Amino acid sequence: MDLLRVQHITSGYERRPVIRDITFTVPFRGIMGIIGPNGAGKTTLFRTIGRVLKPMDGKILYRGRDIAGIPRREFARKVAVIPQFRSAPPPFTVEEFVSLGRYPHRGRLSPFTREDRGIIAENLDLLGLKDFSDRKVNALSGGELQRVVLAQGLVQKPELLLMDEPTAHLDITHKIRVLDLVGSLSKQAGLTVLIILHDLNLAGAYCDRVLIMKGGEVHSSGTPDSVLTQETIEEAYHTPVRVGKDPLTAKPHIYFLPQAGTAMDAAGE
Amino acid sequence: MKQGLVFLFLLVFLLASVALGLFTGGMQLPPGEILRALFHSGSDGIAGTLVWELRLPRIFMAGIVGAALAACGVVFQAILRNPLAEPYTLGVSGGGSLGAVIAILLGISGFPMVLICFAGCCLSIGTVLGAASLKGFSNSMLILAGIIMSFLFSSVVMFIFAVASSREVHSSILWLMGSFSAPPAGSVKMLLMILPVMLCLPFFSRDLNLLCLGEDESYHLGLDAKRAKTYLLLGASLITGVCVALSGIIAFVGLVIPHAVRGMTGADHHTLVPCSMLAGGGFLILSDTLSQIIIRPLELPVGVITGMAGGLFFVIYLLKARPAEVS
Repeated sequence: MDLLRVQHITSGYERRPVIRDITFTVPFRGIMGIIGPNGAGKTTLFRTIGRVLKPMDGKILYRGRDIAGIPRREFARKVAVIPQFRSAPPPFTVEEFVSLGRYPHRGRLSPFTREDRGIIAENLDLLGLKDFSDRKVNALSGGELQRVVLAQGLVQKPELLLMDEPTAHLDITHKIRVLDLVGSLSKQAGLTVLIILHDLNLAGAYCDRVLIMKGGEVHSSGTPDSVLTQETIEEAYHTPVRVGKDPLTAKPHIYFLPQAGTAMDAAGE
Repeated sequence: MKQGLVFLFLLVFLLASVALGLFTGGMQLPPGEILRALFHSGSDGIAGTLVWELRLPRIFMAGIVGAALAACGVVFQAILRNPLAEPYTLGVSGGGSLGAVIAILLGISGFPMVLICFAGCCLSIGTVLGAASLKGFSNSMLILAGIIMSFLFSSVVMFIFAVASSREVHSSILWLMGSFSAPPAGSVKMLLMILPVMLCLPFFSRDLNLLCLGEDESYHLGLDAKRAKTYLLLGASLITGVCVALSGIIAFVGLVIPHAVRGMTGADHHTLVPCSMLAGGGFLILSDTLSQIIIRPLELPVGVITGMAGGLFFVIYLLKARPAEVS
């Protein structure tokens, strides 16, 4: 049995489907990357799995159970979603903001227990936020805020973590730090991670499986070696690339080919 | 710890406002007499009537209305995720003023007028929430529908002003500015009816904490955002409607108090909601007392005081706040 089975999902906004007939499975443990050009429907897929959008057709099974039938609070104890970088949040302190992630574990009127406090402190520590705990989240830098949002997701103690471009606004130091952390959580704590990435090389370096979306459909999926090939990437992105091997890790590495007329565009990527 | 101190401070502020409202007012009596009347509730005479039939009901009304408007302001700002949101954002006041002006035009006063005014509030709440429900309760739809309804109702009110007599227009305008000077019999009972609803609001602090992050985030943390939004908006709108029907459109309390309190307590609604209630109640009692003594023996509409004090505070707040907090 797989952790998550997405079966023939069609979903979108106001009866206009953005993704059509999506089917794939997420096995236990490991990191599965979702890549694809802008507008391919990656975020719509996440909003459907995260139960913000109701699918128009098809169903999603979590450990064999249709997620539509799982009470929302119970679902939030199993699946955490780290949304894309958000605009200025309300002036919570870092600790208050992170502790919101414990709400699914406590009834409306039951105060936080020592266990909750411990989990919150542990994750603040894990993400290097201990010295920040009294700072206001609306006064943090983008990278700090991203870590705070990740901490909030981790205190949910999920089995499945969905991350929508967690590295989009981070510098390389923080990119690598966040992905290293996620990688070690998936290896040591048995966390399963489904992650949307734009950077194909990061996807190649960190993901155990990769799924390419294009035009609202699954284009291809498999191990990074089998999916991140010159042929599939050029087909999905309509951009010429060359694929080599990273000399240290032997993972696929994608080289972009700046062309005479479009050199600036390609460099911007 | 710090939040506990803020709560205590605001409690003291509320009690001080109550005391000030009790001992001063339009009519001056020696404090000794007021104290005697207060502790011998059966006593007749001017002091007894003044304390038990005028001042205490008035303080009670101003306190509850102030607390209710401030709490509703917190709710609207959290749900609409907009620092400029206030209890009147969804057009409740527009419907209420149309109801009140129609009642004045028809020569209806007292408690029946309150009921007509409340009917007007319910009409606008129904229209705005109904229109927004067609678009999945999106915040922009709610705010737009509220603003449009306000314009619609106020143009009808202006049309009535254009054809009404000047005496009717004057009393309408005085009503629109908000006042506690002549609460009709039955007002206190009506307020007692919304008191339980209002006292329930602190129990929704978690929902508010999540909703102010955004709808997607609320779903991700296990809250059915659409359902929570619906019942909180309905509850807060009805509370606002009762306040408008009883005391007119009192400006700024629902906008400024939440911001002022948030500056002291932070964004956690577990402290923000109860502290805003204390601050709103105290502020409106204080403003109402000032409105009675500034041009004694005449009385200003309390909305004038709250508007001036609130506006002044808001300018200072905007100049002092860091950009991230205003956004």
